[in-house]
Amino acid sequence: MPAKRLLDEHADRGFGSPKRAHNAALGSLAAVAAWSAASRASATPVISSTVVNVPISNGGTIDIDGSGVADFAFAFNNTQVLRIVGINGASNASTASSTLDGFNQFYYSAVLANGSQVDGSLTFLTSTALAENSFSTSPAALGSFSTGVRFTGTDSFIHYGWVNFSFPNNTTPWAGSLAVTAGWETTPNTPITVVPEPAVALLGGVGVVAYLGGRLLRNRFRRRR
Amino acid sequence: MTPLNQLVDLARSQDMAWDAGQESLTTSLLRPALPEIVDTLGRLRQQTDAWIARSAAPPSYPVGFCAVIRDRVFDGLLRDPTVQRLTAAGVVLKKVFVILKDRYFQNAMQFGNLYIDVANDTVDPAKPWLEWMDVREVPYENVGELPSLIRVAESYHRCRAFPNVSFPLLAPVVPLLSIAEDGRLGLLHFQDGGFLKDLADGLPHLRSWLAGPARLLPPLPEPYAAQLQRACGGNDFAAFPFEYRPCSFGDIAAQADDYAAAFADPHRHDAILGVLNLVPVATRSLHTMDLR
Repeated sequence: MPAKRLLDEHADRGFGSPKRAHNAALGSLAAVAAWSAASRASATPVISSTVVNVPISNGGTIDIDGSGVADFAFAFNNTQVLRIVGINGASNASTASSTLDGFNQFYYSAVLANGSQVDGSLTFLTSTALAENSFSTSPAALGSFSTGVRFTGTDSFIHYGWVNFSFPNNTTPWAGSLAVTAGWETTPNTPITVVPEPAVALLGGVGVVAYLGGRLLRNRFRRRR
Repeated sequence: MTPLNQLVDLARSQDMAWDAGQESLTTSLLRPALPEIVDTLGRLRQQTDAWIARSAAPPSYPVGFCAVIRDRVFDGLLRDPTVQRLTAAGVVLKKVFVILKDRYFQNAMQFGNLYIDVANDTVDPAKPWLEWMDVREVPYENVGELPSLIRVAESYHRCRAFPNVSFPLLAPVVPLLSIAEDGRLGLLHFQDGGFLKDLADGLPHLRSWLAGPARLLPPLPEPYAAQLQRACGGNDFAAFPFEYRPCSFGDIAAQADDYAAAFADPHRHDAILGVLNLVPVATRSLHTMDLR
């Protein structure tokens, strides 16, 4: 069967090795599986240096990977709903994780517990609601929460990440609200774990490096194109 | 349920269908509220137009913006008290993606047993912005049959379609290459829904197409085939993520067997998701090569 033949070919090319995983075009599902596994094995989550207490304003943006191209915008819809909106372009399509509202419709940004994983099992939409004026069920009513994101990096591949928000109140225009911090996975198509908030808030950059086993930030500048 | 199963469910949910269970609700609750709902749709459409205008819309707006308009109006509908009352009573409101009148790829909504298009002017701006009717009166088909997709794609996107016999791993997901009006070679791919629905059933549409209609399509013209070989024949992942290997329709059918087997084994779903994640990369890569 062709797929089997190609799997053998890719094995000969060293497809089990993350270092060489990007060399040869993929010719079988087995090769894709090996490539995905190799990508996961070389996972390198980092904390964003560009999303640090960014005030949330109508039309404001955040650039999670520091590429110079904004990944998400914030939009006040009719002053009643505050949305995070993926900025879609040829090289930068972004989506935020979403969850069902009281009408069983995907609407609100998904609230992810610390330690939970952001991966393809979440539902991602280009626009989800972070806050809804005075609605106790909207994420902003929690005061602080994280949601998952997925965006296309400068390498043209999908990267998973998360953003942590702070809302002192859930009343339009959400004065004082912040995109507190964010993390993203530098290895494409690789899940990332939402960092527990205390580690981010109390330890700061170096502490976060320690918390994540020293992998954070290590390859950050080396990987930057 | 795996992420791949969720994607299949999402793709299936975008099919439109008349539902006997919705008929009494449509008649007794939805139709009497229609004048009010149409007013709401008009207000939401105006707000959407204004929002997009602030986002530096191109002069051709609203042409080509059907999905954006539909999505924003849909979001607004969910917050409308009348709509909330209806959905709470059991009237289903959902997004649909269909082939309309054998001519258009259509992003619309189904509310109960009514078809609602709030972006009816996104192909021809001279048309009314709103069209709604009983689902049974709509000349449509759900996305699935490849011959229909090819016919509509060639007309709607003004391109010529050719069978993808160059990238066998990619072919079941993207079975067609296209030459656009400006002469540029590309992958003919709009969304994964048709593939996902077919995959869940064992790829019967793909197999049927490979066994017959695909063989009637003209091959990629020689100058393009030669350029494609030069650009992708090195099989460098960085240049194009899928292996270039000219193949037969039988080879693609064998590849379809592997996809079907992988779908049947949840432990192999990651591989299919990996392919789906790489399709946008492949699309962009080929576009960037600018083969004409």
